[in-house]
Amino acid sequence: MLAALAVLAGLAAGTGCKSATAQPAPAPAAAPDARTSIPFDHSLHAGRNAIPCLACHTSADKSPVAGIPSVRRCMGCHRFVASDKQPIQALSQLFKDGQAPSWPRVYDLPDHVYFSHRMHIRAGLDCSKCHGNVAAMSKVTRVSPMKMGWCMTCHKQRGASTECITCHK
Amino acid sequence: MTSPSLAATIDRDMEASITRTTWRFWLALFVAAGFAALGGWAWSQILQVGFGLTGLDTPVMWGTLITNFVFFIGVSHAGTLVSAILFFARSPIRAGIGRSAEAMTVIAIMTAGLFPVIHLGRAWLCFWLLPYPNERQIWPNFHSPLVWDVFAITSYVTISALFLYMGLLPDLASLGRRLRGVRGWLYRSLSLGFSGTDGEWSLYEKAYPIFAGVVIPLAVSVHSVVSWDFAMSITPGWHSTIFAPYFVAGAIFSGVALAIILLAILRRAYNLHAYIRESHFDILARLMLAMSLIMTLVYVTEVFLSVFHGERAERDLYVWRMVGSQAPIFWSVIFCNSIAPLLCFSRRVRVDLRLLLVVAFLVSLGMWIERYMIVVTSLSHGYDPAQWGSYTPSRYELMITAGAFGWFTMLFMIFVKVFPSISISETKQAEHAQSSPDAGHAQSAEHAAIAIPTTAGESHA
Amino acid sequence: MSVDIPPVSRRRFLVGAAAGSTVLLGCGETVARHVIPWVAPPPDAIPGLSLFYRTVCRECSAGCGMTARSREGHVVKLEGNPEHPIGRGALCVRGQAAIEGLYDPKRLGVPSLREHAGAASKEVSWDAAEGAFADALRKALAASRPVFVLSRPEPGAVGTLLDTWLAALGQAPGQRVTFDPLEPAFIRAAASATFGVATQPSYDIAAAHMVLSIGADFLEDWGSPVEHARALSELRAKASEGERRFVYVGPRLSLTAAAADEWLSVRPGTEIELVLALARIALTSGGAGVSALPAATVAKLTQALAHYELAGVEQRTGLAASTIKRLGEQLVRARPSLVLGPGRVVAGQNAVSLARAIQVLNVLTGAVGQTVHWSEPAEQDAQPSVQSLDHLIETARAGRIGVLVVHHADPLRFGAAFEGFTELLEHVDFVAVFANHAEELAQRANLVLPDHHFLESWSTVSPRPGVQGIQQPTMSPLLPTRAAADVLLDAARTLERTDGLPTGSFAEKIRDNLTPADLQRGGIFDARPVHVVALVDDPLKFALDSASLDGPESGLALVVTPSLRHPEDGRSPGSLLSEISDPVTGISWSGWVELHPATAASLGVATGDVVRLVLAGRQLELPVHEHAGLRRDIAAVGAPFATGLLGRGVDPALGLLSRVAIHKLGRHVALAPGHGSDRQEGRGLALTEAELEKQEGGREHTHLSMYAEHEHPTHRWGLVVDLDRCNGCVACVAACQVENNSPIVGPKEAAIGRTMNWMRIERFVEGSAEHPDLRFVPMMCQQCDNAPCEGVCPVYATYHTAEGLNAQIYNRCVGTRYCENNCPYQARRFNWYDNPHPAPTNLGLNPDVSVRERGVTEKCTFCVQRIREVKEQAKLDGRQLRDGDVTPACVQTCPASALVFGDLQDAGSRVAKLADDKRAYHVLGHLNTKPGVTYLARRRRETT
Repeated sequence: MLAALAVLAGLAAGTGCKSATAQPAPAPAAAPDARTSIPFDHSLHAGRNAIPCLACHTSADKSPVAGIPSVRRCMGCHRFVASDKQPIQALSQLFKDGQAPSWPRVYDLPDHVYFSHRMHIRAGLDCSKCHGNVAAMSKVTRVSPMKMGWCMTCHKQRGASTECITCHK
Repeated sequence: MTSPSLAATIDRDMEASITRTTWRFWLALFVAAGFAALGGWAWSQILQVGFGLTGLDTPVMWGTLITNFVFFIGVSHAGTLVSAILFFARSPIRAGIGRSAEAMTVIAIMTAGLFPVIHLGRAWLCFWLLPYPNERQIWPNFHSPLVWDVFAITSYVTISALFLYMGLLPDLASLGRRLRGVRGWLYRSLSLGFSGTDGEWSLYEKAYPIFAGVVIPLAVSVHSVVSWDFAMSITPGWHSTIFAPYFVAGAIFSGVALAIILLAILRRAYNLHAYIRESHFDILARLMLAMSLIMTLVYVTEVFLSVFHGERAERDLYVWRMVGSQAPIFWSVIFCNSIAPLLCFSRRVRVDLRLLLVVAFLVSLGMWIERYMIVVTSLSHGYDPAQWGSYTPSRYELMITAGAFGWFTMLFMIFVKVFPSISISETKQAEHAQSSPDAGHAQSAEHAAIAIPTTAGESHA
Repeated sequence: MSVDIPPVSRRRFLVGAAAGSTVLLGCGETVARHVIPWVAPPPDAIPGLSLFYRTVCRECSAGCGMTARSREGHVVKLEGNPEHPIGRGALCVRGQAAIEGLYDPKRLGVPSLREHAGAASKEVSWDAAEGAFADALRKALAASRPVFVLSRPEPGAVGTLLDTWLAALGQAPGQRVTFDPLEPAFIRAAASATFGVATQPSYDIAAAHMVLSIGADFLEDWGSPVEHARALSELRAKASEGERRFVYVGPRLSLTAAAADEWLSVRPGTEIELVLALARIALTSGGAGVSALPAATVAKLTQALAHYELAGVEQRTGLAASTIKRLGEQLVRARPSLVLGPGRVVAGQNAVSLARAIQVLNVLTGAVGQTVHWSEPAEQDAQPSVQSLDHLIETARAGRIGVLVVHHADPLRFGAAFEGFTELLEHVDFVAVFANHAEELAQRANLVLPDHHFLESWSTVSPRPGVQGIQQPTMSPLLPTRAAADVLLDAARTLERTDGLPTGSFAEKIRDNLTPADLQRGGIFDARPVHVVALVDDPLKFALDSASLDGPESGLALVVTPSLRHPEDGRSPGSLLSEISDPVTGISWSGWVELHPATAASLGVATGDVVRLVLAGRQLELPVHEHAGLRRDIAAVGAPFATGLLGRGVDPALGLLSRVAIHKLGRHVALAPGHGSDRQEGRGLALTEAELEKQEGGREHTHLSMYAEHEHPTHRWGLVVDLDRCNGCVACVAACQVENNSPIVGPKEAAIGRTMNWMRIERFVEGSAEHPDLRFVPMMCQQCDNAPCEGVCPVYATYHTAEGLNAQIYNRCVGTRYCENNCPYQARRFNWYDNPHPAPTNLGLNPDVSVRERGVTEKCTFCVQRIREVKEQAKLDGRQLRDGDVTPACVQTCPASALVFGDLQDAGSRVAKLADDKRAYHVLGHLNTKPGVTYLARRRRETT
C-alpha cells in the first residue's frame, strides 16, 4: 500500500494538476520579437495622465473580456502626443505596416474558467480589487493569486453565486 | 499427538525459512517481480496515452480492472477473518495457518487498493477523493459509494496490518534473541522491546482479542461497502439488496480457496508438514464447502428474484446472462463455484492435497470470473437496447492483471522470507496446551522458550 | 450587425487564436504568453461578444438562409436565418457541418499551374496564375476557339456574371453549362410537356389534407429538405383539425417513408400504373379538378385511362386493388390533396412519363393551383441539364475547345456517368478550375485557382423566383484565396473585353444595390404572382409503359437511394458528416448495400458480409446491411456509394437502374457503430399515442424518497421532444457537435462505440416483418431532477444546479466513469484520448465551451453557455428572462421544430404547456429519474 502511495505521489508531482481542458495550439505569431515588443508604462497613462481604465480597455463593462486597445486606438492619441519619442515612433511604424505590438500577458485564466468582466463591474467592483493599483505600477505585476479559493472567498463574502457552473465551462 | 521435540524444532525451522534461501526462491521472486513490472509499464502507457488503450467503451465503462479490485478485496477477507474467528474458537489449527492467512489479507488489500487508482481517468488527481481541507474549498461527495470505499479500505488495511504485527511481536522478540547481525538488530527493533515478561504477556493477552474482535465486523462491513459500489447504482444486475451478503460470502469463499493454495505451497516449500497438517486442510475444505453452498443459494435467489422481477430490463439481463451470448461465463461460474466444491463432501478429496488444490484453484478462478460477469455483463445489457454493447479486455488490461498477481506473489514471498510464516509462540502454546492441561504453564513455558532459546526443555528444570 | 468586413489583416485572425488559447503548466500557473491586439478592430466587434452575419448556405442548391456567429473574427457556429423564407431559421445536417469545410486543413490556398501538358503542376503566385489565365484566354480568342464555362447552379449574381463575362468575351450563351447532376430534370421536362412551363414547381405540403409521395424522398433530397421537413411537421401539427394523411409509395422504407402514416410499395418500375389507376379513379369518381377541364380533354383522358382498371393494375403492380381504391378515394375526398414525385428511387428510364402522369393526376384532383404552383419566371439561371453538358462534349469532339473554365463543378466524381467528359479534356487546350479542394478534376486541370469559401465571399442566391438571398462574407479569408468573380473580371480587363461587366470589384457591385436592411434581413424576399398553368390538349398522349429493367432475371433491381449526409455534387463528406450515423441504417463512415433479411438469407449473407454487385460489366464491393423496410426484389445502395455502378450516359438523378447480380465474397467487416439492438425490447422508449394509453398505469408512479425534492427558486430548464414532428434528420446531432466542440473519433473508434456525440438519434424497427415501422428518438442527457449520475460522483464533478441542470464540471472530473455506468440513458461520454484540434480547425472552436482533456466525462448541458450568456444580458438590461430567450443548438436548428426548450417553472411557457400534453411521457420514467426532457408520443393514423 505504502509502495502504491509512493508511486502515486511521484505521479501527482510529475503530472501536476493539469486542467481538464486541453488547449488548441497557441497562434504562431504569439511569440514576441524585437520589433513588436514596445515598452508601455501604466503609471504614466493611468497614473500621471489619469486616463480611466475603461478608456482603453473599452469592453470591460460590456463584455466578459476587458480587451486590449487596438493599435489604431493608441495612435488616436499618439499621432500627436509624444510622437517624437522612440517607442512611439516604433509603434507608428508598426501601425503603418499593419502590424501590432505583442504585449506579455500578466493575468490569464485557464480555459475551463469562465470569467465575466462586465458582471464584476456591474457588481460595483473596482478594477483595483483584482488588478491592484495599476496607476502606480510602471510595469504591471500580478497582485492576486487568481486561484479558485481566492475567488470563492470573495464570492462568499459578497453573497455571489458559488455554483460551480457559474464560473466553470 | 505431536512429537515433544516440536517446540525445539519450530525455532529452527522458522529460522531456516528465513535464513536459508534456495535459488528456486530467487527465481520465483524474480518472475513475480517481472510480472509486477510489466503491469506497471502497462499502466504507465495508459497514463500517457489514455484509457482508449483498454477495451472499455460505451456502455461498458468498467471491466477487468474493477474485476481485479473486487477479487483481491475478496481474497483479503478470508485471512484475517478466518484467523480471528479461529482465535476466538481457540482452535488448535490457528497456530499453523493464522499467520500466513493474515499476511495474505494485508498483501491482498495492498494489491486491491491499487486498482481504484489505476482505474481513474485522471489518476494524478486521485487525492481529490480524500477529505482534506483545500484551497478549492470543496470536499468529496460523501453520498458516493466510492468515497465510502476510501474509508472502508484504509481502515481495513490499518487494522489488519496492526493485527498481523501484534501477532508477530513475540516471534520477532524470540528471533531477535536468536539471530545476530542485521537481521537480529532488525527483529529486536521491530519487536519494540518485547521481552516476554508476565506483565507483557498479560497485556498482550488482553490487547490481542480486542484487535481480533474489531477485525471481524470490519471485514464484514468492508466487503458490504464494496458490494454497495454496485448495489447503490440503478444498473440492472447491480441494483440488488442481496449484494452485501452475496459479496461477503463470496469474499470468504475465494479467500479460503486461495489460503488453501498458499498454505499448500508454503508447506511444500519449507517442508512444514509438522505444523500444517492434513487436519488443517480438512477443516479449511469444510469451510470452503460450506461457503460454496451459501454461494449456490445466493445464485439461485438472485436469479429467482430477477427473473420474477417487475423490471423488464432486470429480467432480460438475467435471461440473457444464462442463455445469451455470455452464457459460457455464467455456466463456468456455476461449475467452478457450485458444482466443483461439492467434491469436498468426500473426505478423500479433503485430505488428498492434490485433489483439494484442483478444487481450490477452480474456486479461485470461478470467483474471478464471477466478478467479471457481475461487472461486465450487467453494463453491456442496460436499459437502452440501442446502446447495448460488448467488451473484451485489451492486452494492457491483461498485463495489469498479470502484474497484480505478480505484485501479490512478490509481496507474499518477501513476507515469508522476512517473517516467520507460522506463529512460533502459538505453536508452542498449542503443544503445551496439549501436553499439560494447565494454560498457565503453557505461558511460563512460552517465555522460558524465549528467555533461553537453545533448549526449550530446560525451562522446566 | 456589421455590413462589411474590413481589409484582411493577418494579425486580426491571429488575435482570436491568441485570446482563445491558454496553455496551462503545473498547478494552474500560466506561462508568460503574449497577446496581440487588433491593428484596427472590425466594426462593431467587441472581444468576448459574438457578431452575427446573415448569409446563404451553399452546401446544396436549396439555398437556405444562414446566420453565422462570429467571435474575435472567426465563424464558430452556423445557424438558420429565421427571416429567410426557405430555411426559416433551420439548417439541415449538411448546413450545420459547413463550418468544417471552412477550416478544413486540406483547403486550397495557393494557385497551382501546369506549364504544359504532362508537366507536374506547381504552386505559383496569384500574378503568375492570373497572367497564365489571361494568356490562355487571349490564345483561345486569337485562334477563335470557343471558351466554355462549366459551373454548379448559380441562380444569382455569380451566375449572371458568368453569363455576361462569356458574352463580353464574345461567346455564345450556350457555352455556359450548368452542372447539377442530382436535379430531377425529368420533372421540368414533364412540366413543359404537360403545361408548357419548363421550370420546377413549388409544393405546398402543409396545406394538403392528403399527401401521396411517389418515391419522392423530400426529407432527404428532392429539392429543399429543410423547407419540406418544416411543411411536413406543420401538416402533422394540423392533425387536430381533422384528417391529415401522408402515404408513401416506394421500394424502400426511407427517412421520408418512415415519417409517413403508411408505407406501400409496388413492383419496381410499375409506379406509373398505380398513378394512372389513381387518375382513373379521380376522373370517374369526381376529382376536384375534372369539372374545370374541357370535355374534349376529359374524353381523351377517359379513353387513355380505360386500360387501367383495378384488377389489371393489381396484377401488374402487386398492390391490392382495395388499397389502390382506398388511396384513390382518399385523394378525391381530401381537398386539397397533393401527389409528389417521382423521386429518385422510382425514377427509371420512364421517369419523364411517370412525372407527366403524376402532373395529370394532380390536375384531376385539383391539386394544381392549390398545392402545386409555378411562379412567374424571374431572372433565372441557365437550367442545368445533361443535354447542355452533352453539347459541350459534342463541341469538343467536333473541334478543339480553347479554354474550359470550371467553377465549383466536377463531373468526374460521378464515375462513368459522364465518361464523355474524361475524353473531352483531351480536346481542351486549357482547363482552369475554381475550387476549394483539389478534387479529381482539379488534379487534371492546367490551372487551379483557389476560390474563397462561400462563408468568405459575396454573391446573391435566388433558388426560386421571389427569393433573393444575400451571400456576404462572414469573416475575412482564412487563406490567400481570391474570389473567382474578381479573377474573371481581372482577366476580362487585361483582355480589354469589359462591355457589360462591372467596373469595380464584384463585392462592390453587389453591395452597391443593397441596403443595410437587406443585409440584416439576409436577402430581398417578395411574393411572386402565381403563374396559372393549363393542361395541354391531350396530356396522356405518350408511351405509358412501365420502366423496363434489363439485366439478369435472377438479379435484384438496383435502387440508388438519396443520402442526407453527403453533398449532392459528389464531394466526399467531411469527418463530421461521416461520423454521424445514417438515421435509417445507423451506419457511419462506410458505405453499404441494403437487402431485405429474407433476400440476404437466400443469398447466404448477413449484415457485415461483403458482396460484389455486378451491373453491365461494372462492379462494386460493399458490405451488406439487412433492412426490414425494403422490398425483397431490390438491392438499395446510397447514391454516394453507387457512382461506381453508373454507366455512360446514365443520368445520375435516376435511382431505379437495371438488375444487378450479387456475389458473396466471404469477407466480413464491422459496420460502425458495431453494437446495439434494432428493437426496443419492450422498454417503451419510442411510443405511439395508442401504446402510451395502453401502458398508462406503468408511466409515472410516485416514489418515496429519503431525500427532499430539489427546489428550483428561479428556473427549471426543460426540453420537449415531439416524436410526431421529429423525422430523424440528425441536423440536431451536427449542431450539438459543432456548438460543443465535440471531437470526431474516426471509424475504428466509432466501430467499438466510442463516439463522443452528446446527442444521438436512436432508431428502432418496430412492427411486423411485412409492415416494419421505423421510429426515431432524439436522445440526450435528460437532466434528471433525481439524477442517478449525481449521487455516485465522488468529487462533485457532476451536481444539480438550482436551475435543474445536471452540471458537469470537466476540470473537477477524475474519470471514475461511475456516472456513465449509472446513467440509464447512456447520455454520458468519456474522453478515451486527448483530442487534437490542428490549426486551423482550432479557430472554429466555440470559445464559450472548454475543450475537454483525456480521462474526463462529458455530456449535454442544454447548452449552458447559451443560458449563461442570455441570463447575463438580461441582468445587464435589467429585465426578466422571456420564454424563447434561450435556444440550445439542437432546438435552434430543428427543421421540423420538434424540439421546444424553456422554463418548466414558468406556467406560461410553451415547454411547460407541452409537458402537460396528453401525449407527454418520460423515457424510462418508471425509474423515478424525474427527467427534464419530456417526449410527446407519436400520432399514428392506422390504415383506414
